[in-house]
Amino acid sequence: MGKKSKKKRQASAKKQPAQQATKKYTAFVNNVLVTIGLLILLYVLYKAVPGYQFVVDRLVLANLNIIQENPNLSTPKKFEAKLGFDYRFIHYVEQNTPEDAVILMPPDSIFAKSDFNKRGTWGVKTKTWDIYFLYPRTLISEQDSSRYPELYHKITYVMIVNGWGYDKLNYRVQAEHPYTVLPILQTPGS
Amino acid sequence: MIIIGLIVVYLLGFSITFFVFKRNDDIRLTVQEALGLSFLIGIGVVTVFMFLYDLLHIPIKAWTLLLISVIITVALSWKYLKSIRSYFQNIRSELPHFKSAEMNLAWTAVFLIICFLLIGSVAKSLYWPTTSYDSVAGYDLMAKVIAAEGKIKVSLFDMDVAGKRGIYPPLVEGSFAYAYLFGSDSSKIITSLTYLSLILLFYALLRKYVNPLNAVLFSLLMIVTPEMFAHSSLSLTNMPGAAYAAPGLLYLFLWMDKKQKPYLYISAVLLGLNVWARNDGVVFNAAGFFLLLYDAIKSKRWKEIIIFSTISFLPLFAWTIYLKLAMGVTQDRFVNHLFWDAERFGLLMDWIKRLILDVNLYGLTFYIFFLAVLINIKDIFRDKSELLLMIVLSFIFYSSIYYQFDDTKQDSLNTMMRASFKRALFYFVPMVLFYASTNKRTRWLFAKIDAFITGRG
Repeated sequence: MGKKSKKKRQASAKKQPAQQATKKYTAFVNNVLVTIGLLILLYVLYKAVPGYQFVVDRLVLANLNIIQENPNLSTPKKFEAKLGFDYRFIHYVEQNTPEDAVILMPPDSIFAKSDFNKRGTWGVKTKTWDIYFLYPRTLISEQDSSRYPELYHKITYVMIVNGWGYDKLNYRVQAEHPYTVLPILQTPGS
Repeated sequence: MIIIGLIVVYLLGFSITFFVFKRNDDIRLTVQEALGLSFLIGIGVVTVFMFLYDLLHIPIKAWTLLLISVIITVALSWKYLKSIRSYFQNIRSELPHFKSAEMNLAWTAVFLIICFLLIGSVAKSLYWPTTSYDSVAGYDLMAKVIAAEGKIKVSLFDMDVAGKRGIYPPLVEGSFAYAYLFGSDSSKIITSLTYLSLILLFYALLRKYVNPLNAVLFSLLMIVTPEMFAHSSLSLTNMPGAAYAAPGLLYLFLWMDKKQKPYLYISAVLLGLNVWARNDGVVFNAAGFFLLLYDAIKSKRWKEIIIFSTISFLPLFAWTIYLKLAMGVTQDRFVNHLFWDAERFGLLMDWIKRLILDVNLYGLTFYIFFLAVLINIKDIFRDKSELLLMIVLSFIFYSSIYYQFDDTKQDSLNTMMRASFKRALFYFVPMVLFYASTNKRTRWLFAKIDAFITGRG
């Protein structure tokens, strides 16, 4: 009995490394199979669910492509790419007014006829939106003149929109551009 | 400069987290958990400092915030310095090791897909400046002005241009202001870190119940949820709200399940910061409260519910009182009595159905949840029943808010559902996926897969 069991043990000891290798090999194959199966499942989901396609194609790949193609795009250019003419104008106002400026905005009716964005709430037509780009400058809308009379008297610049606002200046302008920002008083030398 | 600011936030958050967890040596704070909690708690607490400074008329500046953060960090970690050192020495063993023979290829493949998506999200977030209207005319505007003027009650309120977004609790705009105070051009670094923290935390919480493959796959499902992924690179409040509320309730579930005190404290802190980000997040605190109340009545132990309620509701009360006393604002958007309007209820239900089943917005997230509930129906009252109850309760509470809205004081129900409720579903995404991942049947399925992969099956 003793000899037999010893032989058995010796035989199984010889088999163990081989068994382990087979086990490892099986585990590896199973591992690969599960991975392939999972990747196929994920690919099917990506193809079948439009929302997932949107995430991968539009939100990730499209943006990574833009970033790769324009790695050094300046912040104003990025704003312009997203916000168009509205940003170009507000950036112009920011660049051409001092930080302590009090700027008069046209009434809503003027914006309705302008070239600015008319869809939704965003754009130059919305005072809060403008403040984001113009702060610390102060903005007052024409329709708020009676609400804030003191501030109205402190206006230093006028936002010219679609030709509106030239009559607020105390001087005549030779070439009247439809969209610009001008000081309300003519400064010496200007 | 922003790097210094962020390191201080992480250290502050870590010191608070470690302080809470050290109260119970049985719980091991994992790396993912530590990273996720450190940022969320750190940045949240910094905005509490901003609020206190505003009350005390101390200017909100980079150096004043650094000073208080460093003092609190040192005070909390001093006693635990040895433990912290040994914690960091042990961290290495927790990081994934990529020995080819032991590697779970499926896990690695999903992990790489997650990395690809997250790189895309962070790159988009950091590349594009803030342009979404709600942020430009609201949260990010407030952040810029808070950073410039060094106070919360900024000059925008004098000109009546702060708007309805200006009176949101200060966590989101305060955290954005923190980025500006430390010289960042954009506040979106905060959005990205909040999102990454949510993902790390979600994975860490899943790993307490399920195997790595299950956890990583359900993390991917959360990340790829379309509407939520879109918000991971926008400076808005909904995703940050979800980053606090969902883990907050999941930690509460952990407390109920394992009865380990640190989970209760962390839950209370996260839910407290949740109402510090958005008022409507209070429904999650309320859901947690009712479950704890039931637990307290059963066990006749009241200490836990008192601690939880104090920490989690206090920020909401503080902000409401501040709005009323300092700004003269009372939030009055609701019909102040209960009523029944069948048409309104029908419209609400119709919207809810349309939104949660819209695969363009939420992918398969809610379908997976319903499937999980269905396959787990036999054990529905035994397996993760508290979690399911939390989800259901908070969903009912949240929908009730929209039902009770007074249309004469704000946009119509249609507009609110289309614009607001749609994003509010972010709150539920981590929770429903957590249920789907950790229920008995899914665990059984992934255990089988794991056994097959390792050759034991």
